[in-house]
Amino acid sequence: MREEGKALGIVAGVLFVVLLVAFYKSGVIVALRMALALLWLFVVPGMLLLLFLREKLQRMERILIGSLLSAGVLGIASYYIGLIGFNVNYHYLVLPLALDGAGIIVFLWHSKKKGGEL
Amino acid sequence: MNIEKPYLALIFALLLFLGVGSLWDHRLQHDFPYAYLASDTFQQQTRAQGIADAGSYAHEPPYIVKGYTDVIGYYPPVLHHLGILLGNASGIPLYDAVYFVVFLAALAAAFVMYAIIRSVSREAALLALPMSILLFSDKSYIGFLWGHWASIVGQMFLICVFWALLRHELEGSGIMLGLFMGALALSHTSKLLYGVVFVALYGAYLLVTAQFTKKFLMGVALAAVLAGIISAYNLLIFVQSFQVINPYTFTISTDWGGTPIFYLTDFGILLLFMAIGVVAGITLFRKMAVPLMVGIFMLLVGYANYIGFGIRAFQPRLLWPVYLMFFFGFGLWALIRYAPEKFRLPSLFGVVGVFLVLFSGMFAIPGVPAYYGISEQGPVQGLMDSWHWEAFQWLSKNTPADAKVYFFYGDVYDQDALLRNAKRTHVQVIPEDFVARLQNRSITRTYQSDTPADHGAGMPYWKSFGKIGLHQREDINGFMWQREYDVCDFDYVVFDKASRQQALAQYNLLIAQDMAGKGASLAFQNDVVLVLKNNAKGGDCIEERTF
Repeated sequence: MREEGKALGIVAGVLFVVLLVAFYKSGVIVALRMALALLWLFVVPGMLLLLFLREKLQRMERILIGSLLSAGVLGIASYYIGLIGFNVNYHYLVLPLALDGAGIIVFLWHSKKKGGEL
Repeated sequence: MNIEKPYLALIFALLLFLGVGSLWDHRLQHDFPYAYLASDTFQQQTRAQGIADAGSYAHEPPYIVKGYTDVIGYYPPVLHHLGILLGNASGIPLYDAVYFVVFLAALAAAFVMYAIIRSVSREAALLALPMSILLFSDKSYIGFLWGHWASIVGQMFLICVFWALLRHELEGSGIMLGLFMGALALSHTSKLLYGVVFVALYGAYLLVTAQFTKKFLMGVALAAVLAGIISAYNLLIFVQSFQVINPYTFTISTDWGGTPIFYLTDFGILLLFMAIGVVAGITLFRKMAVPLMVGIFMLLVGYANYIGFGIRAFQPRLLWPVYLMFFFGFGLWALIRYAPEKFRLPSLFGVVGVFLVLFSGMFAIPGVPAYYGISEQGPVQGLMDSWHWEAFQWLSKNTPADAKVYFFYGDVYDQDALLRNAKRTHVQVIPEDFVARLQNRSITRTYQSDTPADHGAGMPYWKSFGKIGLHQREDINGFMWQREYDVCDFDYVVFDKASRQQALAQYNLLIAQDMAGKGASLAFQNDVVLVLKNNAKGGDCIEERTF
C-alpha cells in the first residue's frame, strides 16, 4: 500500500508540474486545481478499481488503464444517473467516491477470496 | 537506472505542451471558447453546455434542434459528460474542459498503444512513442481544431478494447472489455462496429492458433452482455434516428467535404521504417499478434471509404500516428538490434532523440512529417471573439427562453453552430441573398434564410414506447422549415457592426436604423454587435424601400 501511495504521489507531482509548464500563463492555482481534478476523477478511482490486479499488471499500466476505465464508467454513469433525475453538475462530487468505494470493495473481496494480505 | 518512466513523463509533457498548450496560448482557461476553428467544435460545446444547463441529457437543447423541446438527447453522451465532470471539478469553463478532454483522450490513446506494444517489445514501444507527436501534424490536428471530438474520444476507448483483448487472461478482463465497449458505443456509436469486428477477428486468430479458450469465450460473452446493457438505450435511438437519416450505401468517397484527408503518403520517409516493421512483425506474427493486428486492421479501416464508410473511414485516419506506431517502432528496432549489444540501448535512445527533434518540427526536413506549429505566427483565437461572446451571453441571459432571434450578416456566422451559444431558437440570413439585396439597394422584410440546426439524427422524439418519430421527416411545413422569413416575426434581431467587407456591415446598420425608426429598441450593443428588440413582432417592423 505504501508503494501505491508513493506511486500516486509521483503521478500527482508529475501531473502538476507538466500542467504548470504546459499552461504556464495560467499560474500555479489553475494547474493545481486541474491536477487535483484529474486525480480525483480518474487516477484515484482507477488505481482503486484495478488494485486487485496489482500483482498481475505493472503499476504504470494499471494506473493508465484504471484511469481510462474510470473515465468510461464516469461518462456512462453520469449520463444515466442524469437521466433518472440527479443533476449532472453534482456528479463530480459523488460518482468518483462511488467508484473509489467499488474499487475498495472489489479489492477486499478479491483479497478475501485469495486469502491474501492487504 | 530505470529511464523508462522519466521518458514517458517527458513524452507526456511534450505532447501536452505542443498539442494543446501551445494552441491555447499556454493558458488552461479562457474568456470565451478559444481555438475553436469550425462549426462542429461549437456543436459539441453547446451540446455539453445545454446538458449542464438542463442538469441531464434527457432532451436535446431546443436551440440545437430548431426549438423543439421534445427531441430526445440522441448524441453519444460520454464526451459531454466527461467535459461537465472535468469543468466542475477543475473550475475551468466548460468550453475549455470539454475541449481539454479530447486532447487528454488522444494522449491517453497513445500511451495505451504504448502499453500494447510494450507487452511484445519494450524496445519497439520506446521507439514508437515519438510518432504520437504526429497526432499534431497538420492533417491529424484538424481532428481537434475542426471538432471531430467524439470520434477521438471513441477511438481512445477502441484502443482500450484492443488492450482488454490483449489482456484477456486477466481476471475481470471480460468486465473491462464490456465497459470499454460500452464507453465506445456511448462516445461514438459508429466506431462500435470496428470494436465488434476486431473482437471477432481476434477470436478467429485465437482459434486458428489453438489459443481459444472457454475463459476467452466467457469473457467476450460477458463483455457483450455488459456492453449491450450499457448501450441499449442509445443504440435504440441511433437505429431509429441516425441510421434512418444516413443509411449505409455502397459508395466510394474520396472527398471529405473540404476537410483535408490523411493519406499514407503523409508519413513520408517513415514509410520505409514502417514497411520494415510490417514485414518483421509478420515474420514474428504469433509474438507480435495484437499490435500487428491492430495496425493492419486500422490501416484497412482507414480505406473503408472505398466500401461506403465515407467519413467513418477518414476519421480513424486522424489517429493513424497512434495505430501505426508499432510498425514504425518495430521497424527501427529491427535495424538497431543489429548493433553490438553494448551500443543497443544508447543507439535506441539516440534514435528516439533524433526523431523527437524531427517530429517536433525544430528542423523542417522534406519527407519527414512533423508537428504543425499552428500558433507560431501568433495566438490562435479561433472563430469566437469577446464581443460576439458577450452578445451571445447577453441573449442567453436577458431574453425569454422562447424568444426567436434573427441573425443578419456576420463574417463567422457560416460556422453556424456558434450561434447556438445564444441559447435561443434562431434563423440567419443567407449571405448570397443578403448581398443580392444590397446590390439591389433594397431593404425588405423578408430574406432567404437558413434555420441552422443539427440535422444528423432527424430530430427524434418519442412517438410511443420504444417508437421514435423524426420531426425532420414529419414537420416539414412548420415555422422553422421555411426558406424565407419575415424579420418582423422575430423577437430580437442581431446585426454585426463590423465586417471584413465594410459594405455588408453598413447594410446591416442601415436595416437596423430602419427597424429602430419603426419602433425597435436597442437591447444590447458593444463595439461589434448590435441587438434590437422588435417591438412590432408580427406587425410592420420595417419599411421596405430602396436607397
